[in-house]
Amino acid sequence: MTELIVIIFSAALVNNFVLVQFLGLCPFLGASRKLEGALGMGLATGLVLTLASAFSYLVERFVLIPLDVTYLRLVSFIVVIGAAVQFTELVLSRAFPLLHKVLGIYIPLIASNCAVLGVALLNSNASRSLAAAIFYGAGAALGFGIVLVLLSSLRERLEGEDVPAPFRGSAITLVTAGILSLAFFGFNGFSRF
Amino acid sequence: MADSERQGLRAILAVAVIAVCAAGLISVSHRISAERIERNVAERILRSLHEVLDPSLYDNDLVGTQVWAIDPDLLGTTDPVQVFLATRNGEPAAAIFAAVAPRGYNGAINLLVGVDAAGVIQGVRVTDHRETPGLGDQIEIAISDWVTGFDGTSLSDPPLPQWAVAADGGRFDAFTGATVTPRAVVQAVRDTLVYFNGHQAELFERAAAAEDVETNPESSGANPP
Amino acid sequence: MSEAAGNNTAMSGAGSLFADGFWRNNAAFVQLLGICPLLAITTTLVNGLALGIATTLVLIATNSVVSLIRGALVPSVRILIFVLIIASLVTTVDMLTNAFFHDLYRVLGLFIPLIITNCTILAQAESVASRHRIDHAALSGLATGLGFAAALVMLGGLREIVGSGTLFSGMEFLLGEALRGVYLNLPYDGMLAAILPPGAFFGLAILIAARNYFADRKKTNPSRREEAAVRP
Repeated sequence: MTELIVIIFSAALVNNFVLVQFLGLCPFLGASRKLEGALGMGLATGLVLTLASAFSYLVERFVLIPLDVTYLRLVSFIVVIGAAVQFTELVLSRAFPLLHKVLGIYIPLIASNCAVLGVALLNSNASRSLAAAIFYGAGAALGFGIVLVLLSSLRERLEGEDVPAPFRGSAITLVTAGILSLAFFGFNGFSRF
Repeated sequence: MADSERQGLRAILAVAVIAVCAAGLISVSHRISAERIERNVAERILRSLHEVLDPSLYDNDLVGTQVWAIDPDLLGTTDPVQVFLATRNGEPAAAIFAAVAPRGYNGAINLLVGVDAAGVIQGVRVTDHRETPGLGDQIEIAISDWVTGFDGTSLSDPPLPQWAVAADGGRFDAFTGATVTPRAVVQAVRDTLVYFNGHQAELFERAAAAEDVETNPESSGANPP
Repeated sequence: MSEAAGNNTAMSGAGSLFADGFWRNNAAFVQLLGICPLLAITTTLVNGLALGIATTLVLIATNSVVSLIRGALVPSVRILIFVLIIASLVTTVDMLTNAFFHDLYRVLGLFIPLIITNCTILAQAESVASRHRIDHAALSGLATGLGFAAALVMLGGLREIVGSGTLFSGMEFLLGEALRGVYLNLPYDGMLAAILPPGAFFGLAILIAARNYFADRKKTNPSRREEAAVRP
């Protein structure tokens, strides 16, 4: 159990997916303009990431390896992720229509989030067990959500500030993300315990 | 109604055709590259094994002679650890452990530890780590030659209590600003030696047994459990 | 993305098509698409160049294939078809790199398979390739790919110079063992921060700001302004 907690902690903070491993930057920069949207995007991505980690483990373990077609890994993972996105949308719209109304617009965007494919590939490269793979996905999602909310809060505060003209827009956002990334270096060494 | 049905049928047909073409393309490129990839990987493994063991010291197929060892206390991981066994004229010559130093500053450090049959270190290399760049990464041979300090050491030289970094009263230097990383590596190398000391005969026996049943790889003892 | 699509379809001449993909709507600097690999692997110029080449190849190939089959596309499942095409082409590039540029493959790691999720490629397939002839589509793919590659090379070069004090190190990965050790070594040890993740963010921010600066200056240049006024 401690091992699984270390996996979550390490994926979420120490080796943060976005700021240290550079996965999922498009939605990180694209969906962080407003705090509300960032919360929605974080939640929706969390659902899909965890599901996709489990699905791609199952597909690799019970389809690709028995049939000896592991070279179809990339194609099948991308299809699995698409299916996970559809599945999440379906379940949300049936079971939690209110939540679906809030998150609905973010869900299709997740299919092109490279963090999702990244987690699936990293799990398969490290040949993690099903539980470890799911925890790794959940940790990655948690880390993604945390930095998304942090960045969007910072960007809301930056809105009225007098930024030098060439830096307005994406450049200042990247500087902000860089400072966040520096701050996350403070978590180095935590995964030892 | 019939129109939308035809539409749906067309969609399914289009996806199916594309999927078949995609799978075809991939299996063709797999055919072209698979053998070469396998050779590349084997070459890379052999190259890294030669970093920790002089090729003149053995004469067997090193990459092909592997066994798996499990010892969470001494080998640093609950997973099976790969051990390459080198022989010379059929006699045990050396072993190379893909050991793990579990207590690095940022998680596990992966090592290759080459030990000859007399228990003397032939070489140590770090194959993967997440240590802090600029501090702990001096364990990499590309950055500093610290790791060559293990060459020629054994469990009796230095004596066991001195198998530690200088800060802990041992014989191995630490880096300025980073003690945790070298401490983890020194411990891991020492533990690997201890394991080798206790299991040398058994490892080589298992490798020999695996070779005998080579004709029937299904029952080979060299497979991971 | 939709704005870029509108611009692209309005373009006709090859020159302006090229200028659009390479500069005006540069995927990395203007649209901020595909910046995961852009930030992750640009610790050296050669890494950037290699991924730039791989991405450009995939872009040209997907655009050509999508353009060829555009008559047979079924609107409701077109995205799925694009993704399948992209995924199979990336797998091919992935395997061939692994087989023929093995050391390079080890350096670029995860980011070759992740070319699949580079939104630029899907955006190109959707907005350009599925609506134009193959020559137009391939050229647009080339321009967009080169623009992305240029961004990779610039950021890689910048970070390598500032971070390690070298340039062109690792050429042997691309061009063979003969070039091992052939690189510029500046009389300066490098500032580690540029190689670490924060350096990637700051480096890209500086490059984007520089591009903005030049783009703004061009806009306020009087001769340019007249030209703009004449246009309907």
